[in-house]
Amino acid sequence: MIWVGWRQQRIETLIAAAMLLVLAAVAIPIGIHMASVYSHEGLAACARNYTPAACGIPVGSFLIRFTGLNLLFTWSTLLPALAALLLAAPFVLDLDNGTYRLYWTQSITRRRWIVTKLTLSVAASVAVAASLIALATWSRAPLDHLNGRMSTNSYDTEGIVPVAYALFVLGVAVAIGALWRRTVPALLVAFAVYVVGRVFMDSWLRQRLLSPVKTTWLAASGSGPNLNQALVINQFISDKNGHQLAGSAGPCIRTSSGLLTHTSVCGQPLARGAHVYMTALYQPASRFWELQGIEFGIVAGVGMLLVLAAAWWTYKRIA
Amino acid sequence: MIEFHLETRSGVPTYLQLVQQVRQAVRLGILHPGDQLPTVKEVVEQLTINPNTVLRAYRELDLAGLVEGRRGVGTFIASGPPPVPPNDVKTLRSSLQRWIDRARTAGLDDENMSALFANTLRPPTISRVA
Amino acid sequence: MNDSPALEATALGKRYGSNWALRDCTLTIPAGSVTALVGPNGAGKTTLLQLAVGLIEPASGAISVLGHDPRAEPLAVLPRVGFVAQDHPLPRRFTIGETLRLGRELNSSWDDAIAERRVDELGLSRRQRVGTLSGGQQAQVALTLALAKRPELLLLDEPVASLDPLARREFLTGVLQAVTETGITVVLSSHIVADLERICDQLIILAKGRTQLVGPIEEILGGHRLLTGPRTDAAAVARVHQVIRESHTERQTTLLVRANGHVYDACWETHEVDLEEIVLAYLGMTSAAARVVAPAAVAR
Repeated sequence: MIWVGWRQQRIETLIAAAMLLVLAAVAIPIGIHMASVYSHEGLAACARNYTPAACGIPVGSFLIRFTGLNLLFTWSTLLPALAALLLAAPFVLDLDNGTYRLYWTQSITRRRWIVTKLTLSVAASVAVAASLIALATWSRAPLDHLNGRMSTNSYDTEGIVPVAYALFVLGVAVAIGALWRRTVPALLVAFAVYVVGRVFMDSWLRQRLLSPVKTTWLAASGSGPNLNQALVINQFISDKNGHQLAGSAGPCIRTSSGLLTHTSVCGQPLARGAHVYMTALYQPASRFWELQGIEFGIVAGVGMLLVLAAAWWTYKRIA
Repeated sequence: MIEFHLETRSGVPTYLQLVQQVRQAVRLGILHPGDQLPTVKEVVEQLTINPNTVLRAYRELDLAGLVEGRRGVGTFIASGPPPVPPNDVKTLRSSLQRWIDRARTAGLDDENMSALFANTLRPPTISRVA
Repeated sequence: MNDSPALEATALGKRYGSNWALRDCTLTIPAGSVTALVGPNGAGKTTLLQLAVGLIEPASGAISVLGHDPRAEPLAVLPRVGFVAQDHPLPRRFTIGETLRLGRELNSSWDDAIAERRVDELGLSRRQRVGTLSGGQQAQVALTLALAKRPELLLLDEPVASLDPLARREFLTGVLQAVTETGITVVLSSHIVADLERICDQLIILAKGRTQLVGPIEEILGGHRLLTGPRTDAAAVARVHQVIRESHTERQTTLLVRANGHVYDACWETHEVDLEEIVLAYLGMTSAAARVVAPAAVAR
């Protein structure tokens, strides 16, 4: 049975592997090059202890130079989902085109067929996601040291969350396929659900999985938290107690420490000694694994439940 | 070697058609004593019919003494089936000719005569009604 | 060949929503027989076969295949039953060689020699993809998969419906050769009625989910007669025999009856009926057009 299950998803597995290989073929050379530039310019010191004077320009130019890799990994966050769709296809195809009638009338039980097929899909999806994690973690290392791992192009390619999304998409696809038994619609709907879910998670839910940390500090004192590697939810001018000042210019204040705390720059340097406070709402970088664990629990949990549901429906209902 | 054929809409059961064809072949000298009949497998291949039908036909022929089955070898025409004596054939033919003349005089054409003959002549094993 | 029946159904029923696809089906299929399961589309033939192989579950009644319940004891039934579903589904991506391997991996009673010999006899190459085969060849591959596991019972769901006449002939010859060699029991469903008598020895007529007629073909042929006579009412005959179909012209009445004993009434001329006429008459009974006002075919 295992050979049959593998042979049925051979093409899909190879396509997923090919996607990984293409990614690796691009990312590995860049990663090697980036690592050598990183050590050559001594940027490790800047990652540990950022001083605008010494690190501002080297770090800035480094980031700009390797911005392509960031972009590459932003797109590759889709890879676990695409692989899962591919690996869900053989299961749904058998139900769609009636070949399950062939497999269920050989000499194995229906249960064994379902369990074997789904286990193989799960295993292959997890393997693809794990490979992506390994690739991303290795090749992005310098960028992660500088920028932390809390933004999407590292958070969604490293840690364990990619595995969760692979399982989630697989679960949605086989569950819809078990109910609907039409392959292309099932995969399209699964992908749509994934996109909606990812957007929801990335832009809203992830920030709230744990109560964010709120810190207020005197803007000119330079004693604010290191937000470089954190996931910043909001940052604004506030009073001493952390309440946002009405009519303030928004969160693009350049503190006296010189850090660019957001992507947009506004040209309003503060006068030294002004009593203006900043408040930031954020998830610190130290919470990376905690957040990953919670997100994994939710997303992979839903995914595996759907896989089990698909197995159950297929076992009970199909004629 | 005899080659069987089937008339699917003749109303005569398949096995009986095979029996009749063997009898006919013997009568006409196509099959001689000692000749082998096609194996069940060969007949199935040729006619796409139920092998049980062939077995039944061969059993009937065996019971009638026309063939003998040799285990592991095949089914063969039995030696010396009683041929219809040529004198009997002559007598039957002339009385049949007389009947035909009488029927013609009475106004029956060829088709009427055939219908009457067919209707009167029924293979004994089919008239049983369940 | 043993004496216990290959398949036994007792008041078997299957429902989809409020629609009974099969109802009150009681029949026995003797071991070693070749049974034709005949009926129009939607009559319940596929339902019956799928119940026999455990793909679906009865809503009422019971079915026993080779002595076991196919849902409760799948491993006691599946290795001994060969099944070819409608449209003979096959993995289109696989080569023929890989398809045979599929059979070997999924069937403990697989005999490679049978499979290889059949593929050779069919003149097929192991490397050819199943998806590129013709309909007839695919049907033959599906049959090979079913036969190489050395089943005692072979269930074929409309196996020749989509095949051209030559492919149909070759497929059926393959089935009958298997019967010749191993004495397996065959149940073959079809909505095509021609050629049944030469291939099958048992008949089941299904229409609208119910059995209309079940029995050995020889008995059926012996027990049905076509009665022709001057135009009259069928009531007198209907008191003794079961009238399956009646038709009238101006001067003549034709009745197809299931005779209950000999037909004694002298005003009727009695003829034999061929199997196709009998089947059509039973199927016509269940459809709206039960009365046919036209000269009926008279069997010779």
